[in-house]
Amino acid sequence: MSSNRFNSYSDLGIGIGLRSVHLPRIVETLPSVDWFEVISEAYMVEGGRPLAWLDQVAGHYPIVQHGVSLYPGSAQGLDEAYLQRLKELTRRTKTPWVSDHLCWGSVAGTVSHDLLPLPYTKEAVRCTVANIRRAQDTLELPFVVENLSSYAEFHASTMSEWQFLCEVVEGADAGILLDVNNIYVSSVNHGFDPYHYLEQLPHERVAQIHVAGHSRSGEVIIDTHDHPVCDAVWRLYARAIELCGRTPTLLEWDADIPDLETVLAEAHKARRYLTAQPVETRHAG
Amino acid sequence: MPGDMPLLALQQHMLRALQEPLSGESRTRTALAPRPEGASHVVSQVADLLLTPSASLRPAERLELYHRQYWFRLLDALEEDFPALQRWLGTAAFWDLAEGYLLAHPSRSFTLRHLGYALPAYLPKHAFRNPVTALDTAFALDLARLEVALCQAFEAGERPPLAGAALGESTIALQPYVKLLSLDYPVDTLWRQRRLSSARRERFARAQPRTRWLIVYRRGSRVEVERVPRAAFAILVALQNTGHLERALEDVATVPGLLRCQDQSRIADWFSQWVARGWFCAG
Repeated sequence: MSSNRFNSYSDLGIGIGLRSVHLPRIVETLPSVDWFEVISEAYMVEGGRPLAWLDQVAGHYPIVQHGVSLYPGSAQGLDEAYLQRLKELTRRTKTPWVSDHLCWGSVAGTVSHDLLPLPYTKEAVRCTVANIRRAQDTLELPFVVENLSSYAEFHASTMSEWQFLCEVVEGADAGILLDVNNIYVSSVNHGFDPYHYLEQLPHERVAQIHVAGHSRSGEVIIDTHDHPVCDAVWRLYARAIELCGRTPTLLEWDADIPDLETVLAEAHKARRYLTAQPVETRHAG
Repeated sequence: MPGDMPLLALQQHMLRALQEPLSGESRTRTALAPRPEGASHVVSQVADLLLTPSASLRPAERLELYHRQYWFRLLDALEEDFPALQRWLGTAAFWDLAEGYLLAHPSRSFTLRHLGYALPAYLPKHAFRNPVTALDTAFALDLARLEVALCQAFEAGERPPLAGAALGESTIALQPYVKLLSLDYPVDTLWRQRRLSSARRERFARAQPRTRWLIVYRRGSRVEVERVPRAAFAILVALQNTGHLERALEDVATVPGLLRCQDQSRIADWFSQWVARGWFCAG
């Protein structure tokens, strides 16, 4: 595996997202999968069934937390109460790292519940870097930022998406959750070369990879996570593994979710790419 | 757009555009009724101000992808949390209510689970496009209160339960997952029914308003609803307010006519059941 300080030198292999429809079957059968990724916000609760299920699964598998509401690109900074609840959950899951998206999503306490794109500007870099550093200080865990799929580009942008991502992770000394499906989706929507994007990244910072399916809606591709991974994304994934080494990989399937066996079969397709690469430990910066 | 627009201003513009009511094709993909006011110009103005076109989409079309996603996600969340309310009001009135609510109360929480918590406070103020009767509104309000309590009980915390012997010595609180509701209509019966035929709806509509005392609580991982006698409810409310067993019983005893003879003999049974369910914790 590409073990590095951003994934706490973990040697995790193939994981899938922990989704409520699969929970009874997972607990009953303990399927062959290396780890589960949980959406942090689904378990940032005081009690009840979600936490009971989480504890059961955590008794058998490593859990990695992936968030959707930190909004590291928010111009007004992070929500302290949210951060504290997130930290509380990390103690429960013992997640080796925490990830969220390179996006914004709230203003003055009003929350969009969407992963909204940022303009690629120096101001946005400074703001996002400061927010990620604060998250790292609070959480006391490696923070890993995921590249977004997007459908819009701003007049204000002064650099490419990959330049923006590089400046943010270098400035914040953060890891990358490399979502190869998101690169593919954005490359089609915005007309850039996804392989060029991949090659420009600091590969030693890639802590984790996401693969997923998407849908076409007219002229755009939407990141729906409701299909198997397409061949073009598997090819991009193969290149990512060549560049980054064997990296913990997770299959996302979040809508029209099929039975657990179908999701696992899709996830295990990643193994043939992973096993072709030697184990290595990489040191960034 | 001016290239030096501060990041915060950009985010304020974009969020404001997302919160505009849906229109056009995005709206027809929902159960929302057409808007007589027509399309908002804010979305296209903000799109032109902030966004570039792509090879195939105008700025407004690009922003609309986010705009519809914002509404679809929030409307879906309300639909999921208020199924009985939707059955009662019907699809058109429910979506009308949901849209009005989201315009008045955009989400202030990191989680969609809390999105509908202010719906009972908003509902009486909502001006339905096709007016509903006062009875329908009153019934809907009780349903909304019940469904919010169900959502709250689902994820509420659980503290170490007190043993029966400790009740007299400790400051007592109810477990956070125990919610007390006094409602005027038999909405718990309606909530249990997965379908609402017109004949059954008529029967509910004839129900006379009189207070029903409900406990919404979690047993294991299931959320349950139970009607209790008025005196039992009053004791739990008094315990919640005073934190002391003796004082709570005294308070209840001073209310004329509240404790009937048969209630007094049942108090010990009620407490046995509540303690067995672990409903009391240290205050």
